[in-house]
Amino acid sequence: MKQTKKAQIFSIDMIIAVTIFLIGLIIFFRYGSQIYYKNTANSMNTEAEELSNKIISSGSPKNWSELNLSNDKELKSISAIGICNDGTNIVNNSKLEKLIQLSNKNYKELKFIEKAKYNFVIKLPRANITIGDKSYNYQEANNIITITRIVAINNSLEELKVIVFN
Amino acid sequence: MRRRNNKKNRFRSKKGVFFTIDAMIGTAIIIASLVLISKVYINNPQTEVMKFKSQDLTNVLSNIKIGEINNSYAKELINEGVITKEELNNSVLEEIGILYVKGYKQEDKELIRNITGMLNDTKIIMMLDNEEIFNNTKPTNNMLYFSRLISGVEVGRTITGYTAKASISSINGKTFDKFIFFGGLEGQGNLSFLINMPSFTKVNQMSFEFYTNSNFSLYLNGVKVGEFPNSNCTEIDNVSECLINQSYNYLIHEGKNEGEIKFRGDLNKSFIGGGFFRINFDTNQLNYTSINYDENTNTAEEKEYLIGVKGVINKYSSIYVPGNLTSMKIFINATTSYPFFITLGNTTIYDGAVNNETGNITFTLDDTNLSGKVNYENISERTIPLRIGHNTIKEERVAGHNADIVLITDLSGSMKWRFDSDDTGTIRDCDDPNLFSNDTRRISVAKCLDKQFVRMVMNDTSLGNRVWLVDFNDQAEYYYSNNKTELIDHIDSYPDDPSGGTCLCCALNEAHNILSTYSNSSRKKFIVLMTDGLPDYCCGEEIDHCNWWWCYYKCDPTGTSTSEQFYSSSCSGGSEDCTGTDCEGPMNSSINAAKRDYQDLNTTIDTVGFGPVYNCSNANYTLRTIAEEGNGTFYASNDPNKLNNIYDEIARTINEKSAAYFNQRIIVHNINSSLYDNSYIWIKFTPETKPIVYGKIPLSIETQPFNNLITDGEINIPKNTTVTSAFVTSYSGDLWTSKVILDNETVFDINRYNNESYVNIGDPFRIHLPSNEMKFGENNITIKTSSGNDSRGGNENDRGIYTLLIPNFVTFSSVEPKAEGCNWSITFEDGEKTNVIIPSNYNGTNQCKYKADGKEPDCTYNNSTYTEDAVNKAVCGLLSNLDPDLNGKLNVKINQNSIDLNILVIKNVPSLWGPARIKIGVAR
Repeated sequence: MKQTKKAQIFSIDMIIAVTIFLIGLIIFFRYGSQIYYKNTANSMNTEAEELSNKIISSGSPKNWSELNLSNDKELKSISAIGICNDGTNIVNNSKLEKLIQLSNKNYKELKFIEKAKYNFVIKLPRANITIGDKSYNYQEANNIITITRIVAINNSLEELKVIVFN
Repeated sequence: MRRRNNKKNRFRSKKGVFFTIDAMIGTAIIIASLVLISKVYINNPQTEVMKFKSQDLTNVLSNIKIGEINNSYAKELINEGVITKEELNNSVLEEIGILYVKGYKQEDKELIRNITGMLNDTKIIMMLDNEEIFNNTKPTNNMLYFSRLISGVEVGRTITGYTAKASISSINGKTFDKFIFFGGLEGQGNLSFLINMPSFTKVNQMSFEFYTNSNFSLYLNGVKVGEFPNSNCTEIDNVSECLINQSYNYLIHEGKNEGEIKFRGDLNKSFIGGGFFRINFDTNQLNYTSINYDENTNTAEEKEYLIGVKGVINKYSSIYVPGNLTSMKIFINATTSYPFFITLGNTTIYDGAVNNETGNITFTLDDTNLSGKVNYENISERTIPLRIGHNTIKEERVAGHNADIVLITDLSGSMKWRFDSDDTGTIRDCDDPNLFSNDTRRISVAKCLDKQFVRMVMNDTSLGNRVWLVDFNDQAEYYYSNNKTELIDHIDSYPDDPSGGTCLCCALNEAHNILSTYSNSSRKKFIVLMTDGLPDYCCGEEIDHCNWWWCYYKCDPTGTSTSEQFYSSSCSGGSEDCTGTDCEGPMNSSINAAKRDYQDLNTTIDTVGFGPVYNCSNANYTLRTIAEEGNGTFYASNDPNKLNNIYDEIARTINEKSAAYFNQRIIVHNINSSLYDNSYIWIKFTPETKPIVYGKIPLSIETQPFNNLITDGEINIPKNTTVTSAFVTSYSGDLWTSKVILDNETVFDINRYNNESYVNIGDPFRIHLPSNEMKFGENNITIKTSSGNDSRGGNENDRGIYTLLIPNFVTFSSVEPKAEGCNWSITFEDGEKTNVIIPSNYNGTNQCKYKADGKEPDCTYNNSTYTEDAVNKAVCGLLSNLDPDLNGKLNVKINQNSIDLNILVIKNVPSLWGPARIKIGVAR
């Protein structure tokens, strides 16, 4: 009598346990991972927006493009790099060129100046310009945030994409 | 029991296999779940954020100039002139708005499509205010909008054009009025006045508005210009407004002119009780105003000459200081046989009686004399009564009376008899030396005494009494006129051979009807009843008794009829009825009628018994009782001389009892005095409102008469004007203007000076309104007059007169597509019409007309009220400035040759329309 009942109890327990376990897994992946990734996305999004705003601005100081970027001290005096004339969304070509130079020469320094935590790429598709981390194909990254801005280059409208990834 | 055992055996045999399979299945499920869940719930975020696009696009388009944008279609539009050279510096966004409102809607769409086409299928909607000007998608909730204001653009309006402003730097002439004002009473005697005319180009019209009781001749600079009032005058509420024939306009010249008013009546009636002599003239002095003003020191001076009087000085007038009084001088030049005095407000500033000053009198009262007596601050910006006259010791002052008198005359048959018998008497006229003989017919004496009575109660010193004439025999009839002569004429028409009975009650009932209909509680009521006999008629009848075939009637002594209702053959009214009770009914009927007159109407009844009444007991009783019931006096005599005295006494008593107040006129006895018209009052003051302001033209405006007796009126002040002086006129007749209220604020109150008797207080005809309290739009005025112990309304002719400063320029008009001009048709205030081409070099065919509807200018341009011409709009605005009362007639005269109209036209002015809101939506 006693042995017969033991097997029956085990079978029911098993089913209940598996069910509870699966529910727990679902909850974990559903919410726990989302919180993780949401935090990540938010953080990246914020950084991407800030970065796009800096790029659209004239930078700080406004004449940063006139500084000697080879000079470490002068380079460190730059707190933000922007390529447009102040508040106009019109790209200043000399600033753009300086940015390209700086990016090509020392992406890490650019990342440092822009206080970026994540890697980024800045693209001007019609002008065929890409600035930023070229060492890695960002399209293969796990997380990608793209901010599209509109600027004018050489009196022509152009989309400017700021892509932040990790 | 058996089945259970079988089952137990089956479990036991399969136990181990079952567990192993379960475990494997469970593990497999777990692994599969892990794989599936991780695939479903773990996603790498790859997000593209588009929310900045609308803001960026708006920003970029606002900052790139249309002339610089690298776009082939934009260049094409520039080359084609769709985008003008003047527009090349506009931002792309501004140009998008401009092209749209210019009507290039398709080009506008194509431009937007071309410019934004580089943005990789970006979904865009663009709106100008509420109109969609471009889209390449349908609006959805997923659109994010950003907007920006662009100025100078409004849907449906021009983008650039012309604006104009206009001003007047010289004029052909403006119409102005020179007024000589008369005080509340200027008299008594012939009057003279000085008119100090400024430089003028033309006298348009002279007119005279006045209140008087007598006809006069008017002389200007020694030439008689007419008799007034005449048939060409308009009379409203006893005030005459007379135009002076324009053929006499030539008499007026720059500088001093003299006017004289020579009355044709007696001295007692020779006065002007308020009014003004007005000269409407044209002047080419843009800034002409009646005040001598020094802009540098902001001080003004005014010298007002007093109206001269030759006869007896009796002046009730006023002065006004339109600002803060700083200095004052009064110069008097007079001759007099009796001392006179001057009071300002209630302060006597000169009293000739102190030193009994007579003869030629010339003196000047300046600040030294005046400042100690008069507080300058208290008389600043306030209408102050001015009185110049003689002490009343030698005057008989005209009184205002309020008696309503019914004079009853017996026209029964016995009135043709002598006084001393029942024989027919002699008919005699009033100037017959034997009039008061006993053989004169009673009716002859009665008629003369009636006329004498009327003359006494309606004489020149007892104004205001009213007399109704009632005659009776079998019935009573009445006659009324406010004209003494007409009353006397009616008395003359009484028959010399009267006939009929003596229905005394009929006359008393008629008096009741008259007084209850025409009199009122504020007036005193009197009945003077004369008869020579016993009443023999009743005014009512009632059934005494009836038998089977007939009813008998008797007198109803309470009857109220005005014709006889019952006659008893036993009462003939002869001497045989002087005793006994045959006439008791008619006697009581008369007494009851008298009772009713007194009890209902508080009427005083005096009775006069002619001839035999004196000795007739019943007649005596009846008249005495009537007088007692009427609270009056019974008189009787068979002596015509005594009757004459009785009538005198009754008239005097009524005059005494009905004297309600004294008015301004006096009856002159043995005084001969003159005030010369070179006497003046000079004041220096800081004006409350600057009378001359650069860029503004002073104009005098007059309202229509207020046309009511309350008197309420309105003064409408146009917008964009400044009131420099304003006053109302008040015709107070024999009374005083007592109060003037401006929008619930009392601006003049005569009780401030004396609230008991006004006799020695001046009476203003002009009451000033504080100009700084006059507001734009309606200003409500109320005028009250008083005799001293009452409050009455004013005169229908009272009105407002004010001086305005009107701007002689208009600022830039709205931006319009054209600035050409027009041939303007203009009417001036005096009715003259002219055409003026503005600007003077305009040679087109446009025809414009200046009109106004009383509230707004209503210019027409080629018969349309719409124009796209900036010059015409500016001119319309300027002309409306020159027509402050907006009656469509300009107060300032302009013409083609003399007008210096500055038209400043500016081309290509960005319009001030908008701003318009341009909104750009981009799909997220």
